[in-house]
Amino acid sequence: MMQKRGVHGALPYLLLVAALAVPSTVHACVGRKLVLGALEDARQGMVSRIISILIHERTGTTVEVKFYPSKEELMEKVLKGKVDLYVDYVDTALKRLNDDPGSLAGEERYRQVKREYDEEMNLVWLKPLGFEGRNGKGNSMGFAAVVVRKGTLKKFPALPRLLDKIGTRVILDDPLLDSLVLKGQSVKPAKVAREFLKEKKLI
Amino acid sequence: MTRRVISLLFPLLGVVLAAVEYGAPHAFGAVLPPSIRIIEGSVRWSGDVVINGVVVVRDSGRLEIDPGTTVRFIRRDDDGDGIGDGEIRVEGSIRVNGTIKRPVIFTSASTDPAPADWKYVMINHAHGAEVSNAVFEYAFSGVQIHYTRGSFRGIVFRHNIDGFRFSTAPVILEDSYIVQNDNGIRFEERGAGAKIVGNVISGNRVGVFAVVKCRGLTEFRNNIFEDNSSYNVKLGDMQVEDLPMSGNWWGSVNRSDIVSSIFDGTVEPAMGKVIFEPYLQERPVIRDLLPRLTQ
Repeated sequence: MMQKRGVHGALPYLLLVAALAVPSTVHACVGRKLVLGALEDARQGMVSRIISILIHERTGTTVEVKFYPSKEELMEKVLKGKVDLYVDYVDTALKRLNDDPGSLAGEERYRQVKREYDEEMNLVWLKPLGFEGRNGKGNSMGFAAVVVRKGTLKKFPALPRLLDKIGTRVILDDPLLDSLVLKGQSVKPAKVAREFLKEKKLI
Repeated sequence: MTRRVISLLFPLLGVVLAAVEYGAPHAFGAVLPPSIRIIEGSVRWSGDVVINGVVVVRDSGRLEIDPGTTVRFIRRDDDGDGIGDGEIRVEGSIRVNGTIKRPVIFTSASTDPAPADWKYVMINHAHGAEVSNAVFEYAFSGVQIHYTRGSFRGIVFRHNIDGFRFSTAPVILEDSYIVQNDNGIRFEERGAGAKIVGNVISGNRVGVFAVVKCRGLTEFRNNIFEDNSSYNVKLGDMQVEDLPMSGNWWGSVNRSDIVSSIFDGTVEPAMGKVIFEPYLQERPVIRDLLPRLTQ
């Protein structure tokens, strides 16, 4: 039995008082954590798993993936600081800024969106991942890239170097991503993502 | 009428809470509010101890645990982070006096236990830890020790996310079994050298994860690394210095087998390398502690 010196019969009541008096929000930190936002579609589901596993395996940082039904809801959480990073597409991002993507060449679109997101929203576009976003009709939404809050980058300065490996060493292009998504229909997507990263010697 | 009911319920609730703290059946655990127990001065535990919440051993506190004690943590996750909230937080000192015949066991109170049912024994900026012949299982981290000296001998870490995790802590871990965890040992030296000697590090997903800021101050010697499914040793992305780990058994005498069980600068040139040569040519004899402690 548990024993404490000098404790008398009133201990149960003391315990009760202690339990009620001390706030129940004493949470010990279990390590650093990032929140990755993603849209509820198969491609974003796969990419977000690849990113979260890569970060967790290489840095030990816990990454929680949160899914959102619409870009508006996701962006709201990003701008409120509830989401640290997410995947966005250049053309749709330009439209959100009321810019016309059609007036710019591919790389110029990326540079412009990177500059404007930085200046207006404190969001940093990392290097393109290799694939393009597609809307429900299959039309392109532009290059995909990871977008990170500036505040997050201050705490995790190594993130760009790590995540850029997806677009530079592996080049996660459309056929490759589609094949992973297809595999993810019969095997757990997280398992597919992990095997992919291992095969590419990224983890 | 209402006041009478409340006046009857209040003491009853107190008795129930105390019963849980003192080792009564934990059937009530899931519906009770978590308790926070503060230890100041010297406290001794023995027998069965059930924890529903957090125990804090304050700077002035000393927790001593007798041989044969079983400490069970009730599974609860009030903050919804997927990790049980039960923990022992040591700011003072802790001494765990298990023996081989009567080990001290830290475990989940669940009838269907799983890793991360409880959080950890966290020893942080504390006065010291001496732990002998103990089992830590079904935790997020069996033990986390930071900025504190500690010795751990004859320990079994199993079925945890991280078995044994330390940083900035001159700890000794020897004659122990680190088995069936996600990461067996996870550490960051940050200027403090540890001693990891004569352990079995086996059946984990990753045997040892050296996350960052390790400069080769930690001695790994005479350990057995085998059957870790992903890697025997993995370096973190920012671990740029080499890690000396010669004099260990790697489950094989075939060099290429050993190389493929290590994730380091051989795979990712910006990272340091694990210096595993010369390595043991035979599996060292380590006392057969595991079955005796976990019968």
